[in-house]
Amino acid sequence: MNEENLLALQEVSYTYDDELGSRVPVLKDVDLTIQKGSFVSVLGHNGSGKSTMAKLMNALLLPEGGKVLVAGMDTSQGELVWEIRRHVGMVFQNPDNQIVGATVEDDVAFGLENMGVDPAQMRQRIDEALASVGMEPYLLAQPHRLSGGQKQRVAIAGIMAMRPSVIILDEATAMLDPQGRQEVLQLVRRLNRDEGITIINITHFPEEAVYSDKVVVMNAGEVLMEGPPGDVFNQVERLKAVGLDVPFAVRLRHMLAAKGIDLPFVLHQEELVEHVCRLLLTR
Amino acid sequence: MLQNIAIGQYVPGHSFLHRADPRSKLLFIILFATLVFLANNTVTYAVLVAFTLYAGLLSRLSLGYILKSLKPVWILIVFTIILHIFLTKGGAVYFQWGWFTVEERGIQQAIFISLRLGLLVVISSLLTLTTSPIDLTEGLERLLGPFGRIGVPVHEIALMMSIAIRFIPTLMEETDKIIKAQTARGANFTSGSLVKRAQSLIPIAIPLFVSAFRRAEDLALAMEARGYRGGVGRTRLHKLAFSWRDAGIAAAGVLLAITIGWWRA
Amino acid sequence: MQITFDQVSHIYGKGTPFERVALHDISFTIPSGSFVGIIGQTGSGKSTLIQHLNGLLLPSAGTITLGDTVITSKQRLPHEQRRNIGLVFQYPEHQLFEETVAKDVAFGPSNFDLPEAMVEARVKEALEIVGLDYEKVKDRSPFHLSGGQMRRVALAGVLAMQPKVLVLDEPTAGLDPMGRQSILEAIYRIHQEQKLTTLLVTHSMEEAARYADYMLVLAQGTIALQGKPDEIFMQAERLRELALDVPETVAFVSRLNQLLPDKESLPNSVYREEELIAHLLERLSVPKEG
Repeated sequence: MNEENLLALQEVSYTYDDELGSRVPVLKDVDLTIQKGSFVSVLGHNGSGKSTMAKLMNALLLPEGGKVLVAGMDTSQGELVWEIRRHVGMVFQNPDNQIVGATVEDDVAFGLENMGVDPAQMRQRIDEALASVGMEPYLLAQPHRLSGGQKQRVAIAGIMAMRPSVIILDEATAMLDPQGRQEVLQLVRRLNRDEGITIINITHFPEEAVYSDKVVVMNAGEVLMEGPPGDVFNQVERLKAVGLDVPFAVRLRHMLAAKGIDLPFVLHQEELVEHVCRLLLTR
Repeated sequence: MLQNIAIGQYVPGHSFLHRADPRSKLLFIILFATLVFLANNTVTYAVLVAFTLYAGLLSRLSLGYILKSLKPVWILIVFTIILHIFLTKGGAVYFQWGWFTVEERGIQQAIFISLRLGLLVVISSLLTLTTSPIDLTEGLERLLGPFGRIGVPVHEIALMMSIAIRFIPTLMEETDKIIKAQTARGANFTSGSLVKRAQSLIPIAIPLFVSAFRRAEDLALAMEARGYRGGVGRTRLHKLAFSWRDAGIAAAGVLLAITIGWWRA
Repeated sequence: MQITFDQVSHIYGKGTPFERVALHDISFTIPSGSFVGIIGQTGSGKSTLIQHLNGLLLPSAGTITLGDTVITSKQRLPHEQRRNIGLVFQYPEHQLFEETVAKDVAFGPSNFDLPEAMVEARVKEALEIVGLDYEKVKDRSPFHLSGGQMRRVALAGVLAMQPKVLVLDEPTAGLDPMGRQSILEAIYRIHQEQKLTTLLVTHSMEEAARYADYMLVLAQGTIALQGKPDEIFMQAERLRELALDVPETVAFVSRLNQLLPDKESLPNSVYREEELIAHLLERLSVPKEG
């Protein structure tokens, strides 16, 4: 296996039983690799299999067919599960339902306690982790007094304390207000850049994917598209067909281009403004 | 208002009682409860009352605030008093009206039994007022530790308690929200027959259960994702340590026990 | 139904250590038939405000007038008036409780003692408005539906009361783009068809821009701005101060106008996406004279 690939899904399939007891495939022979230190966004509407994929990466679920490798470790080998979970941290959608501790410090300690870290060392790692997410002043706060964005940052601190290689955000911004969403996104971008943490952001907000190294689009249990944001968002119609939106600048440019206006593809609003401006002034 | 209910009733502080180890406070309460039941005359009750007042001073909380803890049980206390005044006979007769009498033993028992109840409530409130729920769970877990060897799931019980503490405010908010949502749909919780009123709780209870289960499921997944695998091999962030304060509490306990043992009839 | 708030304040836990002013001196008038966007950060008082509309909270001071009914700190909203105001809370699917979808939707109308046949007709109608097939879903358990479907059922539960005013607290929270779009479309359709007065609480400026014809911007329990959407969006500076964004369309236009010479600039009042595209097309397709 390639050293650079921190995570690899090899022909992974998974099914679950629906309400009536019939087997529904959620993932069909999915192949995917995630490079160490990269920022990957996974887009897809509800039921596309993206959340199942996240749980497979953390050994919360085991593949029914194929293999999931985390830093070369096969998730189906039972004895490696704890090491895998230390490597791969997960932030879930509902900020309330993932905080175990009655105070912030207790919650950050939870993972360390599970790992059997020496209490003397724990204190230092908690402080470091809280500092890395900017929540030091809330060490003794009760979780229900925090905002949604703050709760998610505490959840991330709990993972950071375990010194992970990957953080998977499983629609972690879906229930947050715009401010909270910004807080969390800026934080994970910084952790990616400064601490080299690999980030996998599962989301249905296309704007969140613009700054990633790679965008993966899931549909009906399969990887529909995979590539740099520019390549993926360029296929507006294909994304629309599977119920996905594109960032504003892409959409606007697409609409104008469809009417014969000659504009190059752009991802960011600033660029589009410049192009439109040039066009307006040269006409 | 639901959102105004504090969990437990912990009031943060730095008094002697706040800083004592939760284990010694818990053990002391067990001893105190025993002594309250051993007390049987004016002197022993007076000693206990005096001691409880002193403990109240040590908490540096206002006496009025501490006595507020009696509010939920005052009906019970009044009921006890009335019961004893009317039904306990013996000693001098203070009052007579037909077959109905109030006698010396009745008055005495009314005072003693209601004091017993009141003292127990006040002293255990002092525990919850000065000990954070987390410390309390921690203390219980350590105290019950030895029972783990005979198969009592001490770690699991303690974890359940701390998770309950964590989720009480969340579920309170949720209840408040559901009540409002159903009220907005025209539900009426305050009028109608008793049966009707009980029925009207269903639209609140079911969503609350569903939500609690959903949260539990999510939480279990989140805990697993963070490497939780039961109490084996787990370390703890908090370490409890006894200090001179706890020696003080122990000494007070011994002294109190001797005094009550000596003076009781 | 016309809604008027006259100097309304609300204080939580008055006289206790938890006392907190949630609304302060709020005044506005919403004409019957408006679609109002209510915007503000978490904690700005939006939720408190809307709970006043059907008497779940009474004002600590001031007067609220709903049609002909007056609510003050001493005068409650009569029970039978409550059904005129449909209040859809955040994550309304969390209030579902019945065994079947049809029974759950019927809960609201049944509470107002309507004849059974009428209730059934309303249930059917309400489910169809939100885009669910009555025959297919009526006997299913609401708990076995998808998240988006559950939310529609909850919305139908409020619509079945046939309110004259519809108040929605973040109806799209947590949904994917398809779910968001379709629930908003359903709301807008019923707003127009039944001539409702609709109040939409949202964090999303885009949502407000798309549907609202009037906006209230709340900040720290007061109304920071109110007016037509274009009037609001033109005050981008003020919105930024309140840590609120302008819609992307507005940001685009203002960026563009900064680069363009004055005579070339686009009208600042453009905020709907279709409008912006139409403008740009018009400007870009016609070659400049000379």
